[in-house]
Amino acid sequence: MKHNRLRTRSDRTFDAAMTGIPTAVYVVLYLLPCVAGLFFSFTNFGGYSLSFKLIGFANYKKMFADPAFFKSILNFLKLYLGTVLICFPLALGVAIILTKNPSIREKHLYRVIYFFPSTVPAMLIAIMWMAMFNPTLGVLNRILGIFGFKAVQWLGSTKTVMTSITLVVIWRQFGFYMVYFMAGVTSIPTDIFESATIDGASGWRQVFSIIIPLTWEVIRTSMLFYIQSAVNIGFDIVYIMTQGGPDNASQILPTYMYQQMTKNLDYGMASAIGVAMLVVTMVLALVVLKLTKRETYEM
Amino acid sequence: MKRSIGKTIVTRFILILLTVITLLPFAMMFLTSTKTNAEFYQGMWSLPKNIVESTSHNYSEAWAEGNFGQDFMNTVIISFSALALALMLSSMVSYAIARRNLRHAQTLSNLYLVGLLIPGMVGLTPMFVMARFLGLFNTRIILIILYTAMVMPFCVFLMTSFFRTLPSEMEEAASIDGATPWQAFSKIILPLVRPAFVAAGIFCFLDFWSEYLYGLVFIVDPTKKTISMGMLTFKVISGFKIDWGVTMAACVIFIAPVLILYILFQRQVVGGLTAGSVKG
Repeated sequence: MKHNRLRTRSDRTFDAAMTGIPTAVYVVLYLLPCVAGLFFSFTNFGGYSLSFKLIGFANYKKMFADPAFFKSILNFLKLYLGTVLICFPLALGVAIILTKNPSIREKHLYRVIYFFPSTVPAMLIAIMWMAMFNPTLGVLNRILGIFGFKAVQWLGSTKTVMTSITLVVIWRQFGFYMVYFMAGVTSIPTDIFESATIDGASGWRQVFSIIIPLTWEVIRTSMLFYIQSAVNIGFDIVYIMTQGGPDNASQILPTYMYQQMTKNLDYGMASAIGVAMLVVTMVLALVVLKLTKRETYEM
Repeated sequence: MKRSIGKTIVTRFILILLTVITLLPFAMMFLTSTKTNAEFYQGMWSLPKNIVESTSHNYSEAWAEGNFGQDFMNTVIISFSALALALMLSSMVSYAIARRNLRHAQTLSNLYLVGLLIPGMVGLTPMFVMARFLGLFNTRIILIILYTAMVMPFCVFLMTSFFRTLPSEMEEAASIDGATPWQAFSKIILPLVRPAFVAAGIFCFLDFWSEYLYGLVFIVDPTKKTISMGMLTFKVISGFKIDWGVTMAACVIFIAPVLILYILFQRQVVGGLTAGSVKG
């Protein structure tokens, strides 16, 4: 740093205050509690009295003995992968359509409409979709009826409940990722496409050889940050729609943790689940980073 | 030429279909909020017979049942306090990371990035103990400080990329004119990144508006409830026959400020998300 020599004492005080105060607030109120959760996972803290004992690995033993725990990990991964594998390609496809078709004048209108659900509280979306999923009145079964299919118990059956919830999450997040990917596609210089067209590359060829490689970092970042969103949105939607039921079929890690906290007043066990959630999300993040690693292209 | 017209029709069809799929549930919500419950059970898309009566009944019932007047005030107090704190703190650290040539800028930036990866729920028990210990359990203050910390990673992420877009000569010019670093930051740089404040502010507000997990864990007093906790009064419990008219009216009340904010600031919301982050 060549500027360091010129740094005066007031400069250093300024830097220390500017970074120190916010970081202290953030670390004490966000990061430290997340780390301290590890400590509480070894206690029998029950939420009411502040006196509690260290009980070793008892919470973890209880957690690993509960089939609902494994179910909630599996369901969380299903929710995550379902969204990434269905929502992301769809969002990228529509983003390409909107960016590469100058004839669509009302482009901005579509963007605004598709983005809207992701600004709406997930809890409200859950309530709304409970009406849509209603087995006798709901729109979805009406449409299935027209094509001669039998009515589906969307949220009432252990077989379909997780699919239904994933569909709602996809529906909500689609516009968010479309807008995100659109910015990525727009930032590709147009002369690349021009020379590709001159070279005779077809539309599909351009998608796979230009657009996807050049927006790959955007897609990858979205996959990474979506992990945390999946926890939050998943909680909001599952808690309202099914509370993990029927028979734990839609239990995901955050709702399972919340259940231990409020229904069983077992904050120790909830902390152990929190630690498991931390491990699952971090491993998932590493796997995503590893699997999606590609050469980066300079534009 | 013929092929491209066919292609345009297919493209338009897909886009319009997606628009319908996106808007249909909202249309159902508005329509149901104007109907009696009996009318809803006759058919989801039937029109109300006496629209004025059923609408006013649904909305007044929803307003009273959710105690929305009080909830609304609580949410406004909590959100705006947390918003002011979060924007102030995040702009300080983002500025330092982006423009002060710190030796540990990257480490500091990564520290905040971690917050975008770790689900905050992991720290719920320690936060609970901390709140009890400090005597802040069941107060609005605990929600204000937790909300502040909750949105800081995102605000720092967004603001850092905004600060980076400004030309580097700004501070040099300021210091030649005899301005202290603080004056350069507050008088010259901050006014230039107003769009970042608007975008970050709206996203934070939307987060606060929909947050209810912290509320459920930290607030027991019904007079301190936030609006999303008020919404839980209408939580649909499967197996019970619920009043959909009133529930959907509550949903419309809950969504109204979000919708107004979105219509007013749609450019900042849709554009702010990606302004600096994709290139940065």
